[in-house]
Amino acid sequence: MKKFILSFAVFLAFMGLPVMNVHADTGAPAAEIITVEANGLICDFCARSLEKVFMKRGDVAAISVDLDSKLITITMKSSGKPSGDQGGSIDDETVTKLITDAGYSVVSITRSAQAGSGDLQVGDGLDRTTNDAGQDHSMDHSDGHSDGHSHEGDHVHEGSHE
Amino acid sequence: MKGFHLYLTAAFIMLMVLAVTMPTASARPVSYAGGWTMMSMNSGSAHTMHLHYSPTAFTSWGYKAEYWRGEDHQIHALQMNNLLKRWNNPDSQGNLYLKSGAGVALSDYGDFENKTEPALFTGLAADWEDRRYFVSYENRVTEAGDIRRDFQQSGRVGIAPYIGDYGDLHTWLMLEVEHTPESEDNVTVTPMVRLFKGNTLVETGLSNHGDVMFNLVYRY
Repeated sequence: MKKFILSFAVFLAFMGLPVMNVHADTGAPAAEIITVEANGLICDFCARSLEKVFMKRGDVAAISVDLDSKLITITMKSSGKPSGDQGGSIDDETVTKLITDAGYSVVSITRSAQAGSGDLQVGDGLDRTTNDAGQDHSMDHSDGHSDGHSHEGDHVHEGSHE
Repeated sequence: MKGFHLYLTAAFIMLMVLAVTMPTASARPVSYAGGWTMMSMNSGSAHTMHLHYSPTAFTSWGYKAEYWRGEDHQIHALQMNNLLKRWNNPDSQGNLYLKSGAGVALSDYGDFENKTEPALFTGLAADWEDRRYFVSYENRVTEAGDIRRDFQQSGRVGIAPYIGDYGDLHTWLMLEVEHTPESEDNVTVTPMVRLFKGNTLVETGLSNHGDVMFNLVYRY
């Protein structure tokens, strides 16, 4: 009986190990983070519009605005599903439209995914440039600016404003 | 007149002193797409309330109620505001608006007894700001038959004594000069403090005529 229990335990351990590895490596729910550099991001009172516009969406978990670095960080809701499913997402065109609706011009959009303890870059690296009115945009295939920006002092606003 | 000059000089010196120690601000007539804004402006010359809705980031529609103290009349109008041009720069923003309204003017002033006239007004408003400085100018022509027919203009300069982060209480020190050519006291100078945090903006000041100014803007 003891041998059976021991064998069964070893069997379970071997069966469980790959599953645990999958979760440790890639299985944590992935939340996409969209970082937008915007022009005109000057006024706190006006920048509240960004919260209003983005938090109306059910797929946005949080948005933070950094007036110093002119960056808007949009954290999408995680799907809670295994790796490969990024949860909610917004395409670049929609991001540009929403930011234009809030009164700003998009300079660039970069994407990353936060899974478990580390960030995983999944963006296409496309930077999108808008004119002053923020309506027309062209794409330039530069490397973007996903690194090198300080987010110290960011104020993250979570929850729904609906 | 000497007293007025002294007052103007004192206000200017105060701003210059604050300039060396030194976020941003505007009570804009157009909000984000889908946004509502309530604006209440109160000064020695008038009490006004404007509630508007912005279907797009370029236009807003709303109701405007005004009570003008001097000639004791009211104007109730449907007002449309258009963002004609916005300059979004990395460290600053500029805007040009057209603000127009149509409605009715009511007065009991002087010989008037329940006098009612159609009322129209229109004007341009421009502002520029970065996180430290603010400049604006606006004008308006009002035509309300026998009750009122005039031109007004005003300008503001502002300076932020400190630069706050997103979510902080922001403070601005401003000086507003209003010019109403047809009024007896046709120049009004009002040093004021503007405070805003979150969706609420408050301004308060005291004019050279001794009148208290209090403005409240709430965006939701």
